[in-house]
Amino acid sequence: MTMVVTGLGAYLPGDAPLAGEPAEAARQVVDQRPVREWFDVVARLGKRGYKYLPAASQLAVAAGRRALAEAGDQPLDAADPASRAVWVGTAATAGVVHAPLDRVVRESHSDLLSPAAAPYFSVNLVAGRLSTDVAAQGITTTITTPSTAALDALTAALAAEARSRSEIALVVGVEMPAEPDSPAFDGTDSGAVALVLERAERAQARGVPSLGRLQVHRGRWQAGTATEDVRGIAAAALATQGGPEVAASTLLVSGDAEPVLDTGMLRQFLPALTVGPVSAGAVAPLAAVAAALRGTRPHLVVVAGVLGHLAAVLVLPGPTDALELP
Amino acid sequence: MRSRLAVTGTGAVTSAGATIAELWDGMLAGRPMAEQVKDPWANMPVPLLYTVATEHAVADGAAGRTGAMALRAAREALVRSTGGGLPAAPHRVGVVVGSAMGESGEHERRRAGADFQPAGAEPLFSVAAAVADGIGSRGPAVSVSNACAASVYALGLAIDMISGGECDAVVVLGAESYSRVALACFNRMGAVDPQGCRPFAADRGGTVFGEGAAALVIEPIERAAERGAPLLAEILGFGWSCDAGHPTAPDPTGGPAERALRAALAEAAMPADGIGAVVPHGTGTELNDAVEADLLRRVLGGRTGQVPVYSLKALLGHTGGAAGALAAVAAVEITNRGAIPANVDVGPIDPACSLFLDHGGRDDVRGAVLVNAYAFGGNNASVVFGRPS
Repeated sequence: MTMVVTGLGAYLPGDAPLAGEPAEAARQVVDQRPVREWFDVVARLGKRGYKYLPAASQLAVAAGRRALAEAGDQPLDAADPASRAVWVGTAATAGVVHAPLDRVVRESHSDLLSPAAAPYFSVNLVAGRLSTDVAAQGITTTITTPSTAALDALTAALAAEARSRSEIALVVGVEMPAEPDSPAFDGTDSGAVALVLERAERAQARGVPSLGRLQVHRGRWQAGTATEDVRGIAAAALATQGGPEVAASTLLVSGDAEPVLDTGMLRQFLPALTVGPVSAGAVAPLAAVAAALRGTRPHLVVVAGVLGHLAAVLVLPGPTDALELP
Repeated sequence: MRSRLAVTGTGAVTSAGATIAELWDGMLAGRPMAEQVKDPWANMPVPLLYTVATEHAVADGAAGRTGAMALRAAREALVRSTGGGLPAAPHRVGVVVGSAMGESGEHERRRAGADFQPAGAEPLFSVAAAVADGIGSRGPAVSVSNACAASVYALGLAIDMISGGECDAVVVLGAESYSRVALACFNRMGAVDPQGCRPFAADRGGTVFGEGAAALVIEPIERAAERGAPLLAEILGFGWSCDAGHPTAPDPTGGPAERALRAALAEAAMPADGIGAVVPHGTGTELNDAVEADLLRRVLGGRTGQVPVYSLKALLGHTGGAAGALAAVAAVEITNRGAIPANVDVGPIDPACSLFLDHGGRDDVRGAVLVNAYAFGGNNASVVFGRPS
C-alpha cells in the first residue's frame, strides 16, 4: 500500500517562506523571537477560540490548515472522522510551557495559576485543538522524542495508514521559543511544518497530485561508532526497493553528534552532501523533508540527533514509481 | 495483517515495591500509601503523592528519577524474557516509552536550586534514550506523551513497529515521577482528592498522582515460542480513538471511548462475552469514572455483575503516563494466574458507577482481560490480553 503526501504547510519564523534547500530550511527554524512578533493569530486563525492557546497549538492549527488547503478540495470530507488521524511531534514545547507555570508555584501558589493555562501542562493538548478542528476522531498522538519527534510521528502515521487504522493523516512538527529559565533555552526550533498523508489510490480518486513519497529508517548512534551508525542508516534508506538514484543528501547534526561524526568520510558516501544543524526540537528535520519534497529529484535527509536518536528519510518528490514500506 | 504478539517479560517499580512480585503482593495486601511530597516549593492545597522509595528510583545508566525507574522495570522485564539479554539483535529491538512529563521533576529540582543552568540541560523526554542505552538496544527509541494514556499508545506504536517489520521485539514502557508543575496544575483544576485516589467512590473528590514505571517485552508469538521464551500473555486486540472535543473533560456519552474498546474486541475477534476481567482507567475524577462505568455496563451488558473489575489506581494512585503500562502488567498477572485481587476499600461506591468491584478477590478468572486508558485531549485506548493459544 503506497502512501503519498498531498499537502504541505509551514509557518516559519519571520513568516518566511520555506527555503528551497533542506539544510537551509533546517536553519530557518532556529529563532528565539516570540511567535507573536511574526504570527498574527487573529489574522491567521480568526478572532475567537485561538488567541489564548499556547503558541505551539496555534502554529499546529495554522500549519495543518495550510497543508489541507494544498491537498485539493475538501480533503477530509471523504474520510469518516473515525478514520482521520493527527500525529504531532514536539520535543521541547513541554519544557517551554512548564517553566513559567513552575515559577508561579515556586514564588507564590498554585492558586495563582491561570485556570485557562493550567491544563496545558499536558503537552498532548498542543495537538488537541487541531484534532478538534479537523474532527480527528480516529487517532491523535503526541510524540516527544528529542530531535526525531516529527519523524517518529511520520513513521507512526505511515504505519497506521498501511494497517488501515486511518485514511488520512496530518503529521505536524511544531515548537515554540524558550523562556530564559526553560531547559530548551540554549536552542531549539520555532514554527510548524505539516504534511497531509493519504493512500495513493485515494489521492488519485480525488484528482489530487502527489507531492511525493517518504520512507523513514530509524536507529541509534553511539559515540564510539557514530560515523558508521549514520552510514548504516543512510545505506538502509538508499537500498530501498527500487533503489532510486538519490541526487543529493542532507545531514542534520546535533551538538551531541558533532564532536564524534566524521562528516568528511560521510561526504564520500552520501551524494552531494550538505550539513545543517539540529537541536532537540522537532521542526528542523521535518522542515528539511518538506524542502526536499518541493524539489524535483530524490533526496536523503539524515538526522543525527541528541541523545543518540538517529533517522533517515528517503524523499521521492512528485509522482514516481510505487515505493512500498518494508 | 497484524502479527500475533506475546508478552514475554514484565517489570514494575511502584509505591508498592520494586518488582512485579512486590506489585502483586501489594495488590493482594491492598494498603495504599499516599504521602505529602517532600518538596519545599510545592505551594498548593493538596501536595499528595504515592511515592516510590528513593532506593527504587536509582539505576546505573540513568540520570533522572523517571529514567531510573524505567530502566529498572526494563531490566526486570528482560530477565523474565531472556534471562537478561535482548530478545533479538540490537538493531531489531525497539524501545517505546509513554510518559506525560518525562524528567520534568529533574528540571524542577534544578530550577529551584541556586546554580540552575538551563543552557545545556538535557531534553525533558530523555527516558527512551536512557532505557535504550541501558539495555543496549539499537533500534528506534521513541517517546510518546499522550498524557494518561501515553503508555497504552506506546503499546499501539510498538505493535505497528513489529507488524510492519521494523522491529523483531519492542520493550514498551510507561514511566512517571513527581512533577511539581503537574501536581500544581491539577490542584488548580480542583482535581486532587485530599483523601486519596478513590476511583468510583460515592464521595470521590478527584485523583492523586503516583510515581511508577512498568515494562513489557513484546514480540511475535511464534518467534518467542521458538526461542523458548515464557509466553506470559497474548495481546489479542488493540483499539484507539479520539473524542476530538473538550480538552480535558471526556465525551459525556462515552461514545468514542466505547469505539476504541469495541475496536480492540473486533481485532481480537472476540465478543464482549469473552471478557473475563477488567482493569479500568478509573481515576477518582467525577466525570471519568461515571463515563467509564457507563460504557462498561453497555459493553458487558447482563454480565456486568459477574465480570470482576480491579481498580489499580486505588492502590498506586494515578501514575500518569505510566498508568496504562502498569494496568497492562497487572492484566498480564491476572491472565497468567487466573486470579484477581480484592479491590482497595475506597468506601461506598457511587451507584452511578455500579460495576463488579466488591468481588473480594477471585481465583477463577477465565477469559480475556481488558485494559482501558483515557487522557486529556480525549485520547482513548483499550487493549485485550489473553492466554496464548
